[in-house]
Amino acid sequence: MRMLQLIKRICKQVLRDKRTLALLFLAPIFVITLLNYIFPDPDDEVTIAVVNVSDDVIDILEENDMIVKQENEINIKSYLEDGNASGVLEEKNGEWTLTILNDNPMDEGPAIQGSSKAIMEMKLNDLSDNIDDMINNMEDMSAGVEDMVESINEMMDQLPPEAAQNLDINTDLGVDTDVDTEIDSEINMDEDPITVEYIYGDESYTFFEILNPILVSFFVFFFVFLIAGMSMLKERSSGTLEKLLSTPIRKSEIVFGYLFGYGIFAILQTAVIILYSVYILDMEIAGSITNMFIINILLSFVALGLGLLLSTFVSSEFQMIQFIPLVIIPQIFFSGMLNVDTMEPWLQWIAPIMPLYYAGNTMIDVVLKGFTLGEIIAPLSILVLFIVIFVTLNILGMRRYRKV
Amino acid sequence: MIKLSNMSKSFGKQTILQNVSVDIGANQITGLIGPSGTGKTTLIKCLMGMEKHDTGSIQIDDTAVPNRKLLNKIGYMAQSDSLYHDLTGLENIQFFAHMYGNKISKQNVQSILDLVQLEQDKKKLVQHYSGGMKRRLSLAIALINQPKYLILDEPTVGIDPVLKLSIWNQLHDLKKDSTLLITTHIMDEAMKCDQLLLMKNKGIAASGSPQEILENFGVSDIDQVFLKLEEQEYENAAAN
Repeated sequence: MRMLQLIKRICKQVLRDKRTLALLFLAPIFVITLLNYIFPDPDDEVTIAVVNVSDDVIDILEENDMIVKQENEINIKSYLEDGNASGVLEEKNGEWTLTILNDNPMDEGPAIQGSSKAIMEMKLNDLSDNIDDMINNMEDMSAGVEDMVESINEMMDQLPPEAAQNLDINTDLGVDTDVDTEIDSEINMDEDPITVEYIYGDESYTFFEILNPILVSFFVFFFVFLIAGMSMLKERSSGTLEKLLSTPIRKSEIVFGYLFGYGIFAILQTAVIILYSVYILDMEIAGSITNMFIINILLSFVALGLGLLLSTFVSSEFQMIQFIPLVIIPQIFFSGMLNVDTMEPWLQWIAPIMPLYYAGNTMIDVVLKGFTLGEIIAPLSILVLFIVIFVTLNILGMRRYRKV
Repeated sequence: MIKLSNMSKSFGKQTILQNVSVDIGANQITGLIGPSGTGKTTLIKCLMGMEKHDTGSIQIDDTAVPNRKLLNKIGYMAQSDSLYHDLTGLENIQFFAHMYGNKISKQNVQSILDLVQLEQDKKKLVQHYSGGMKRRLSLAIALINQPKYLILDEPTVGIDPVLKLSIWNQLHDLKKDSTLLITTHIMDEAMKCDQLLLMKNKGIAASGSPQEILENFGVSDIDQVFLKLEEQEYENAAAN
């Protein structure tokens, strides 16, 4: 009953605070939208400048969807600095050089890949030309051998039979003079030399598609943490927490009231972020959207618990902000963007204490890999464990303000 | 009946209250006075159970403090205006009323609003209230559970003289149902109390009605009592 009244009060306060509402709902949408457009489209063409490069290579580059600019006598550095191209490809005495500024991996990566591929293809073409020549030579040679065999046979026919028996020349030399010229010497260059098989998703996946599920969880965590922490801090610094504790309310009722009061908004925020990502930004999801909700709602309660808990250690809003680089930012690195298995061993020990490590990686499992509820039950249980721990610590922490 | 016996409280190495023993009589206004930092607020926090006293005992109606259920009988008004600024005055009252359970009726809320003269402004957000209005609202909230014990920490700070007078009249009216404990360091207010507890040196240096205290110390106002106490202390220190 008291808890319900507390929840009602929190709802009233949040709904009246337009700025907090905007922070909860508009800020994540704004940032996610921005990110969606900030990453370059993989279909965008990369521009490459060529100096002293044969037309064959230029043709191949163009076939590989690159814009080729033919240049002579340029200052490569200033040419690239001016943004004329992502790279400059040169040939000198058979040595190929691609020069890049090395300040924009998004464009330069494809430039390096494309150029390498073009030169490989060019070299393969040369190779197949050589093979053709060899086959032609061999055909000529085999024709010569056939002529020889024929003339030997003719000679044999003209010899007297005794002589022929003595000579016992087996003209059946077993030489397969019929060289198989059916060899497909034209290696088909229209197809990719290698087929990439995608276990999850397809080649249309961009970096954003992998980042987005993590970001959804990150925003849920970040904004809920901040708002829960700030509001509890306000309750404490304005003296209303003390006043509240002068009533017979239980400490657990305060903690649960806060948890569910802000939990309502956390759930709404999660819904808005997920629905926006899926339906407006066309985030492809392999798994079920329900599982996305489960992960993020659990995560938002972890963030609530952590925010409330940390707010008891600070005495001002600014000190609350100071927790962001300490508590929030490091979690991004472990949230699935980078592979934890290849990190330093001591970092691998840190990862399991971070709620976003579980949420982020599980989001990837659900959104990109289509994991079912059964397959993500372990990380979900750990998130529940986090909630239990934080709630318990919060209730114990309330003892600071009232002993019973 | 509030009964403190041999109660001590310290924070870390710093002792705030030492062997305090006092009975606070029912149905009267007891004033807790003394210079800043003498432990008035700590004493109140121990009474409320917000702080746990280290040794000795505190009993309210024969129940040992701290006890959460006792808080049903206590109304508390803190030094700062502990109000939700983004709620209206009425919403503040209703919210805290619910914290004491369902029994608080609409009539009760109305009579309290009338008592503190906030009926006109009950629908205004508290952030638009003046300092005096906030103080009155805090008082109203402290009264919402019709408490048997009313603990007020400097209730009249920042209130204009006319309102101050009316609040004191109300406090004296409340005496018939409640026991009031008020801290103040405004000495003319101390004179309006029925009983005084003078806090000094981690304990209660003197107690009695204002008149008794003045006579005992042979002075004409309470400020001088503290000066006398200071002198005595100095003499004791010299004698030792």
